[in-house]
Amino acid sequence: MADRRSQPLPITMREWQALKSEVAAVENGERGITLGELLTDEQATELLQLVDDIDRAAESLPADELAEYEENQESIVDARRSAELHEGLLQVD
Amino acid sequence: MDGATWSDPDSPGWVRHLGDDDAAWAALIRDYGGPSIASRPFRQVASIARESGCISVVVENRYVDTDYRSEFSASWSQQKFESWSSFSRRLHFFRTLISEDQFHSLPSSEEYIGYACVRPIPLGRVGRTVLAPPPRLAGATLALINDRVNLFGTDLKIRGAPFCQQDTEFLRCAHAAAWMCHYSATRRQLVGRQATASLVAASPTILSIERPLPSKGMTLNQLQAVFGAFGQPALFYGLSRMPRVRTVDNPEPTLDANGEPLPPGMWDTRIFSVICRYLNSGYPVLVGTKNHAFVIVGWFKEADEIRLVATDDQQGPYEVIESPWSDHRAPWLSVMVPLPPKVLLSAEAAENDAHKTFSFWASIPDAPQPLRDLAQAVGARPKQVSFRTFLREGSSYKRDLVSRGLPLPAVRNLRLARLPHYVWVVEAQDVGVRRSGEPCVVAEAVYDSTSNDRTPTRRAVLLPGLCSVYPPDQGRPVHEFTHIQRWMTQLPIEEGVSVPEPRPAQPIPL
Repeated sequence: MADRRSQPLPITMREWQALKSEVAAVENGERGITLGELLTDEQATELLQLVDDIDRAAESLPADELAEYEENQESIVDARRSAELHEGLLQVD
Repeated sequence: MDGATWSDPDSPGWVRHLGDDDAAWAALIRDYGGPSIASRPFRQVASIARESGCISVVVENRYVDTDYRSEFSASWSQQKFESWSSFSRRLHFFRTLISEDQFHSLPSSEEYIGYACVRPIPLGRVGRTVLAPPPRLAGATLALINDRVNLFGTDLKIRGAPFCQQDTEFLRCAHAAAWMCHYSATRRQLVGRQATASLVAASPTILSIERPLPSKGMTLNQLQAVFGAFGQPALFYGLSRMPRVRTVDNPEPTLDANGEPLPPGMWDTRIFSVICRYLNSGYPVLVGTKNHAFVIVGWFKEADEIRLVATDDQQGPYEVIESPWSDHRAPWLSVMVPLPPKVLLSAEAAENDAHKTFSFWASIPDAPQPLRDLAQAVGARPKQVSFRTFLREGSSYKRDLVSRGLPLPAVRNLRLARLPHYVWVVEAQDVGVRRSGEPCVVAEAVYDSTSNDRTPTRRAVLLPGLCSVYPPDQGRPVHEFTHIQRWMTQLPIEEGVSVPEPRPAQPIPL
């Protein structure tokens, strides 16, 4: 059975033109440098370790900002619960 | 309306030439709008058609409208002493002059403005209607559908927001509003088509203290039951407790003359962001007040203020709302958003998490400068970065990557990512360049819509110079370093102009 992952992705003419222009821009050096080129191997490894587990890395946020994030997340969960309790009996005609 | 004379068995239809003749338009409204107490929706339909350049109306006679026939069968035929016809008429609005000898070969869809089914009943004449939005809304973000009709053998296409009017007995405003959301979902191939009478049947009578007929409306619980039965359970927001999101300001309550807080529907600006997230995703939003329900189908900016576009069964299609606070239906109390059942994550949870994902880099001492710059911009006041969150099918998200000017390694990484059917996409946009239509997205996060509000799950993160993909089932993340650049948004730009042709991405100055 053919490996579906090896099949070429369908591409439209518009996408093809965009790809061509992007490839040309990269080849002409119009894209500047990559983030990887800014980093040493050691720095790149450290960065990728952070990105591997963003939730853990984000614990570096100041305590008040983390608390605000948690409170907001709780308010999002709570919003629907309270709405159902308080406004479920209205009748709209 | 007399059932015996409403449908002429000897004629397929006829045409009314209206041009710019006020008297001819008034006659059309008189003939089809019904009594003046309930004619406003048809007047609005006629007004929209005229504004769009309509000069001819083809009347399709003896039309079998699925919805009206279902209403007739379930209600009118069984309860009314008067004889009403079981047939509708369908009015088709054209920008060009049409004669009856052209009926077998009608003009192309470019000249077609849309249609309105007319019921032969005393109150609530306007049945299923889809009209193109008027030219003045060309810059608005609208949740429109593509509809297709066949008129005398000619296929015609129309893009618009669905509309219908209540009849005051069988269908009330809540039924009409729920139907508008449902019809929108059917045309987007999200659910199968159900007739209006099925919608009434799906409303559990046990959830109301009223007798079913004549209907007094629906409770919000009944509305939710109908949305669920039709395959689009709704997210519910009560204005009394709107979700807090780090990216949106939390307003202070406005007080009345006695120092008492006004209802949140008179001041809580967070309603704009909640509604616009779903409209940007293409989903209409149902708004409930104390005694009315209607649908918001779009938004646009005018003089730096957000205007909303409503389809209200009592008003007609494409009503522009200057402000929810001064709206004649104020205060608004609740918002319901019918969504595919597997969309469990709310837009707010995704956006709140994306803010954290983009901003913690400021707290990492050795973080690369482009990421520290991103974090600084996200936290800056006045705003340098604005968040836009919307729902997309994973497949269409992948499809559009190339034309948005994303770095090629990122395109490859994202196209090979395992994504669920629906994803929430959160874009961080550079406010300074957004209005120009230039590439403005500086960071982006993609969330699994089946994840939980408490633990939104990222499937991909694009940062300046880095694209990371997170496979399901604890798979190993895949990272690609890329050029440090901005890319195009998937949304229409701020003024509502459609996403332009692909443009080269812009490097971000280091």
